[in-house]
Amino acid sequence: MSARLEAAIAEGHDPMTLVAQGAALYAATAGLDGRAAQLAMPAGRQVWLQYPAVSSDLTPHVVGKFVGADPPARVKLVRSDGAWTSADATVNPDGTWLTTVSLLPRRACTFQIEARGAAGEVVVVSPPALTIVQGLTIGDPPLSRTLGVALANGHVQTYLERGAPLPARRTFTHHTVETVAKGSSESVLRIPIVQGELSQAHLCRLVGTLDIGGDAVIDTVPTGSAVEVTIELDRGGRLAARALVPAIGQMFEHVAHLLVPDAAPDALDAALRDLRRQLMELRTDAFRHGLGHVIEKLDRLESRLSEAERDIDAAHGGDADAAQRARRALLDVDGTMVEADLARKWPELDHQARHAAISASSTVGMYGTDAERSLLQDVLAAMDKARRDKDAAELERQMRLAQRLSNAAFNRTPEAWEWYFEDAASEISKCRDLPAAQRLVTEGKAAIGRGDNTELRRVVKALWQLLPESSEARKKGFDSGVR
Amino acid sequence: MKIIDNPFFVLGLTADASRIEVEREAQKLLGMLELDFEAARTYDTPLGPQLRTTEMVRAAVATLRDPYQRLVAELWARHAPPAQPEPPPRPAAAPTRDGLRRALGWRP
Repeated sequence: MSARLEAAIAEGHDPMTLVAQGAALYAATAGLDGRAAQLAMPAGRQVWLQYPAVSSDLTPHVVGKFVGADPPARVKLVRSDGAWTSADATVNPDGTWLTTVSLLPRRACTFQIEARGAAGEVVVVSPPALTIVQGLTIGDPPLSRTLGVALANGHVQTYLERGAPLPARRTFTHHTVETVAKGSSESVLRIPIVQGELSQAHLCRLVGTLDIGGDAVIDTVPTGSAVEVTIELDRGGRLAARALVPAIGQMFEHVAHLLVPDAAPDALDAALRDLRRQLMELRTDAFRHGLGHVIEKLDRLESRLSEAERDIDAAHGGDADAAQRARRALLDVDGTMVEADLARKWPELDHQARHAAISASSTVGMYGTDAERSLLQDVLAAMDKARRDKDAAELERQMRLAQRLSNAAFNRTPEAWEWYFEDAASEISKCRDLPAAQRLVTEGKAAIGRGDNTELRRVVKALWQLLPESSEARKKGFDSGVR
Repeated sequence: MKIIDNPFFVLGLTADASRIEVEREAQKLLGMLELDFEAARTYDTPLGPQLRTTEMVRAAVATLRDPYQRLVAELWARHAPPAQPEPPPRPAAAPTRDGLRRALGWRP
């Protein structure tokens, strides 16, 4: 072919780019006036408008506000076909007004804005018209997986539930479990941000970390200080986290890993790197534990990532289609990795479920009421079903119910709080505030002597507050420094 | 679900509101909040007026799109006490002494 054409054939070009370039060259020779229209200076009273560009509703609201003092008195909207005019909307003294418009089904409707002053004179407004298309609309994109903060006890504080509409923002107050010493670069308080449907942090995915370092704080942050953590997600799934420490009046900000890769080439590059790293970790772990079914799931992902990499290269060259293709591929890979990750963690969860079922059966059998025994049977049946369906979130929910039934039955025994007390008192040397802990132990012993269970319960709860989280739990909570 | 976060209160609708009324009201409120309308800044609840934000409006409409969550919200909204124009009075604060906290070494 090259010889017949007497020209070298170029390789490595994207077909879509070539088609687009061809179309651009053709358009350049077609004599079209491609000059940008001159920008007209806005004339008349400026009005800010809020209305849906596309609406499934036939009578959507239009909300407006005139800029500046002394606004017009009335506003009405006239459809461009002349067949419909809104009622006069009264403009409030602050310039705000509200009205509804009538749309034609599956059509674009333009409405002229007619404003009049108090004396009935016409006031020219800018913009003079607005257009709304009637048709199907896409709602706010939902969050694909639950997002939260890992705590020092290994559990997760949920911030945004799966399905929450984006953009979204939520704030919770936590308390530090260790001191951050001013000026010490080794003293770092971590606030891990995790994503997943399970309440145990180590079963979720770490997607970012907010670090409060000793070299960044303006004053020492003592143990037990409040930290207000805010997690914010935009419509594209970009995550921004902020931690405010009121004790020193300092804010720490961090843009964490991207949850949904943006179609911008740089963001795609970052997402690709992140996914490659996670894939390697998952694969290494799967090989180490001989999880054949997980390795099988991960096998096809490397070739998909290579395809995505080629598309990202094209995206850097300005190919928007390739960018979208790469974005979809990365989302698919991410979804498969979540499934593989869960399959990897399933044996541990299954083991925990069995342990919880045995423990609850024993406790409820010994101390439970008839109603609790009956409820436990239902819970155990639901746990079996969740295990058969490999539904991790449901299995965990049923485990919690079993543990609650077990606790309720156990706490009814007269000795329960004495046992809790003995257990907490045996770890007094680990308490954060030793003198306070010793005082509580003395009070607890006196309460046992008097048979005062209410006081004993208060003492035990206070002791629990002074005990540090176990190092094992903190490890499972990605070394979280907050509770 | 807290009573002050009930999506019907956030959107200012009754529990009988149809799906399209919910969507229309949310669209209207988001526009009003964007343009900083005084009337959209707060909403009435049985515990007095509460501040309204765009996130709350989006979350409320998303909640009411889910049939099960809507049922729960309807149940609470139907049986809630009437909305109060003012928040309930706060319990009387304990007497304080100026400068005592600082004298004891506490941060203000």
